[in-house]
Amino acid sequence: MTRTLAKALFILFVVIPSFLGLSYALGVSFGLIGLGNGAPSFTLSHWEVMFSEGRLMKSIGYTILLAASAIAGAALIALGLLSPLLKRMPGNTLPWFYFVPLGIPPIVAAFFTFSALANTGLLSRIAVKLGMIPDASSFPILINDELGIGVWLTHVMLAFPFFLILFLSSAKTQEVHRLRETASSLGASSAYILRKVIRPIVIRKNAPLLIIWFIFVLGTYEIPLLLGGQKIRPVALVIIDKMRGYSLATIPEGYAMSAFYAVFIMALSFLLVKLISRRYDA
Amino acid sequence: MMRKYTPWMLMLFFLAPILLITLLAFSGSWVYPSILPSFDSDRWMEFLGSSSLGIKPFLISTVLAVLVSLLSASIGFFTSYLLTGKARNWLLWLCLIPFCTAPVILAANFQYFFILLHLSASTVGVIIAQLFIGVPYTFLLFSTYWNEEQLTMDTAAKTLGATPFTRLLRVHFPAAKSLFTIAVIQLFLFSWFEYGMTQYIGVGQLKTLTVEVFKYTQEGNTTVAALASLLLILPPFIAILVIRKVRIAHA
Amino acid sequence: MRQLTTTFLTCCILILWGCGSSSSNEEENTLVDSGPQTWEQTLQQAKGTTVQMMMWQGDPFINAYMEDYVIPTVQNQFGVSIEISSGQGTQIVSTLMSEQQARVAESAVDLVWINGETFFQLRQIDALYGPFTDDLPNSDFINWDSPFISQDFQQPTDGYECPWGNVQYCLIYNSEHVTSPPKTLDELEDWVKQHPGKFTFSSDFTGMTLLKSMLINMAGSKTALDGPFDEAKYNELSSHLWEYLNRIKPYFWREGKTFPSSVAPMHQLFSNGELWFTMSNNDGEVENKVLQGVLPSSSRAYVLEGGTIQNSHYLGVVKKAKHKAGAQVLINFLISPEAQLRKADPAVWGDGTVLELTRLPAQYQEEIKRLNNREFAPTRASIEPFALKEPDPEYMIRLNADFRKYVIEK
Repeated sequence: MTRTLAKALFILFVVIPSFLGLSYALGVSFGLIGLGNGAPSFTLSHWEVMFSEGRLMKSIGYTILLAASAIAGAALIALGLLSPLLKRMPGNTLPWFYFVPLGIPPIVAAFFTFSALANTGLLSRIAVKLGMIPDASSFPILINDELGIGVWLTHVMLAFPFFLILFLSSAKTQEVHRLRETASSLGASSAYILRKVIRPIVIRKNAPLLIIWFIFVLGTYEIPLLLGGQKIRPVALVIIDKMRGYSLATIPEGYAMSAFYAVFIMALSFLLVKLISRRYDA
Repeated sequence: MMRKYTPWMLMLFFLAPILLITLLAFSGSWVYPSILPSFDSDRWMEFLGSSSLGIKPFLISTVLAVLVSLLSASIGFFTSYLLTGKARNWLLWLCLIPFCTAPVILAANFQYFFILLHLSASTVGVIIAQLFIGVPYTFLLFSTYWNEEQLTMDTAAKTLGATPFTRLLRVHFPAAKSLFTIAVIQLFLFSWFEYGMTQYIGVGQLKTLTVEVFKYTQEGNTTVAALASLLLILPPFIAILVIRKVRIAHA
Repeated sequence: MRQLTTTFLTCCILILWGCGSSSSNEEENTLVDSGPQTWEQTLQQAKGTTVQMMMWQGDPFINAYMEDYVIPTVQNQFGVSIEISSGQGTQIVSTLMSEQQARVAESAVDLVWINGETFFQLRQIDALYGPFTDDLPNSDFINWDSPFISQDFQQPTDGYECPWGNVQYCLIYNSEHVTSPPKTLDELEDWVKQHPGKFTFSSDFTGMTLLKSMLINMAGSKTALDGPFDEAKYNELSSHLWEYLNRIKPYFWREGKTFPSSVAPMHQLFSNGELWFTMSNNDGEVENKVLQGVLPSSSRAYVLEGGTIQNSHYLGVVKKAKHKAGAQVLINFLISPEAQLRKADPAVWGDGTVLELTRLPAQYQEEIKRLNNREFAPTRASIEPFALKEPDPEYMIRLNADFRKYVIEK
């Protein structure tokens, strides 16, 4: 009985929304859900246009690269901090300031990066005052740059404090320090312990959340909108451009893109889930 | 030597956004290359006076975030406990699907169904929409929790005749409290800052603080954008200050 | 597994049942808008209702105008309450479109603030109520003779939207650095080449308005793009435009490798001194932005010799609106001389009026003339001769797509 209730809740809050969302996008993209006054009729033309433009694949590739590198960067920073912090953390509680970054939404983080790192931002001003650069134009371009460095930095800034809390939490729960004591009494160096004992436990345990953050970064809109370049843009921006453009005609194409992208990411995340579960079992 | 200062450096780094945004929020102008902006409190008063921001959006946001975080955390905890088994990988994967679409696009996809069910422009609709993200998220968060140790405990309790509900409440909940707290904090913040669903499903008529303030964050006025950002992050920040310490693990 | 499937199917059935029940009450909404009625009846019907208005709310000045002045006045004078929700163009279109798909009887929104491209889309999906403007007593004051008001993107408004304000695109320069701003495309080319990195435009609506103005400038005649979209004309003119832009692009801000996504960051770059030019769709905006402290007091606005786009923004009533009478009462108030005069004041909003001065009572005529003394922007009368009409929406759709293809991604 309780299990049935759990199943019902799972279906209601997880399965149905995904199913409906995806079928709506597919329906519009194949012309089965008519927009405006257009009568519904099956067509492949929106998918054809999407593939013929070639912009989407480029954009998907770029987005995956951006997200994967941001997550890797954030995880590395958090891992690097793990050891020094564990040493100075006797109890099981974390002080308030660790939670402050969790209370900063993407739009505010983007605004902060802009104010700090733009050519006329805070860092550039400090550099001028210190005589390191003559004027704003000599400051490196980090915002609206072609590669998306500002976007990358903002994602890392948002993700690593969260990873740090997760890692600390699982390290504490798994009593890593005891493992470490054992390892070090067996003569292992602290670098070795970090590499062979702490990291595998912490990463493996939090793998599903790393994946979810990866996917979350794939889909963010506000950060690249404010900080990204125009030449190559993350998928969300390309899709929304089509869905909310000046022309009603491109809307189904936007839905085709969003459906294709969702299925693509679903396949990718399926592989990732497989991968981590294999490592679990091993 | 460096290691000794790591926590302090982290604290500075974590507080930097709030410091800079506060500075800009009180600024009149920020002419290059001066480091500090000129102080001007008039704009601040003007903005607060004109933006129709009262206590109401704040209350709406709080109630909504409390409901969404508690409901999602409970449902997620409950389902993840009862649905651990062979199909675990499939369930995990299903939970990832809502995140495979950008939230703004997801909201647009859902809008049609919410209108059909007469849930558009209503508080209940917005809560349900936010649960569509909150529940799978908690499910994923707790999926890492049910390891062998917990399951052994579960079997032990079961042999003593405890029903699933009792086991969940009396055995697992106390042990999972710290993770549950992290989940509630995160979901609270998620709901607090949620814009896409709240705006689309609520048709802009459910005026949470985020909906009321978001419109200013993308405008050309640095002071107004900074002020809006500050108003947005200040309440959670104060809440975090009040909590002071969060237990992240149980001995 | 079977249990899972059963629960899933049950939920699907519940949702479909929801669909059925919503489409069955589709026919109920006809009562309100049946037959012509007098303005007195409309006022009567409006009393006590709450109008849901959806509008862009990004400007504190505009919000203050609505909150502190419009809402209390309309409540006092007509007993109509107003609820404003934030949302613009695309959200309005997608909301109304989803409502249509779901065949709802009553929309969640009554009144929308729209621009030409949204009007075009809403008319395409037949989501606007009308014609209604002739029923508004204050519409007698509107300058319907002006093609900038009675036509929206070459499309006759036909009473399906009521003009609220009228503005003209202008370039804004920093007079500390720029003594005589370029007034033609050739001069602009020279200036940009001599001052690399100081000029750019946004890739949003405002930037597209500049491109439209440039396109007409290149055609050499103010009326060159009048009428429906002309493929051949567009191809010829736009190829010149892309050639021109690609020629001077290396001298743009960031060497033209990127463009600001909207005017908001452009204003910031301008006030920080990184750019010497910014722009606005509203010729009066510079006055109000200097007052707000967003732009420096050395900012000056001007228009190109070959002209810039003049454009109106409008108010539309949603076809399935619950409170059509209330919406019309509100619109009638918003186009009253009193409300329009207040809106024109740069200290309030600085938005151009849509009323014909000669039709107004003498006191208002004087007041509006007084407001024309601008400090940072040219007077309305002086830029009026350089006004260009909005071309067919298809021009913007194409410019937007091709600008990405031939300039940004090149």
